[in-house]
Amino acid sequence: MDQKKIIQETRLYIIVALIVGFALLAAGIVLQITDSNLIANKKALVGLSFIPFAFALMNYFKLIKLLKSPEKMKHVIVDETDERLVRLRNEVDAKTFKFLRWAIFLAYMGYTFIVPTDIFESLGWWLLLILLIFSFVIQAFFAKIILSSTLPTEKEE
Amino acid sequence: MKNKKMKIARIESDVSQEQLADLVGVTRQTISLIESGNYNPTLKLCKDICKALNKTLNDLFWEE
Repeated sequence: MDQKKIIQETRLYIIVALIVGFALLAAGIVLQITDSNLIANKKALVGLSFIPFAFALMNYFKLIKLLKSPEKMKHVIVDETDERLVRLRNEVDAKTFKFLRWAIFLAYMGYTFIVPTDIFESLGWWLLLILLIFSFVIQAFFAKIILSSTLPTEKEE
Repeated sequence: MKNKKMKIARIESDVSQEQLADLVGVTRQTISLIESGNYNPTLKLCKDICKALNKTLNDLFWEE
């Protein structure tokens, strides 16, 4: 990954985080002013907007550091491209994904058995079911995309 | 198993772990782990190390 790509990526993260943050903040303020009943806790939206703002701020500091010091930039690039570190990060991601999938599965099973009256009825139950199915389907989806992208093309064969 | 061949080749070339890491674009820890036999590098990294030390794959990574 080269220097320009990392800077572009960081800028993109900042822009996206700011857009999401401002959207949440604006939605929270508008709902409070209009006293709408769409969401019970309107202050939560304003509070949530601080998460993308914090993310944008973190990336802004990273960007400043990268632009000011090329030596530090080199370290960042090496840290992001070192095959051993990339492998370790992928392993961490994979384990986290597996853990989360089991957590969703247990939450779904627990909810279904503890509150049987909610089955097919409550939004929470449907959300958990959709999340559970999605967590199983998404792996097959990405496996297909990644495996097909690594296959040699007809020209390469 | 320790990769003594690589360590010897590096010292003969008068290159530190830090310098070799810079040349091949990895961290110093990765070079250290390869030399101590605790990490199996990919073929691409093996080739990069060979090029940096002006050696062949046989010279550095083939075990008799």
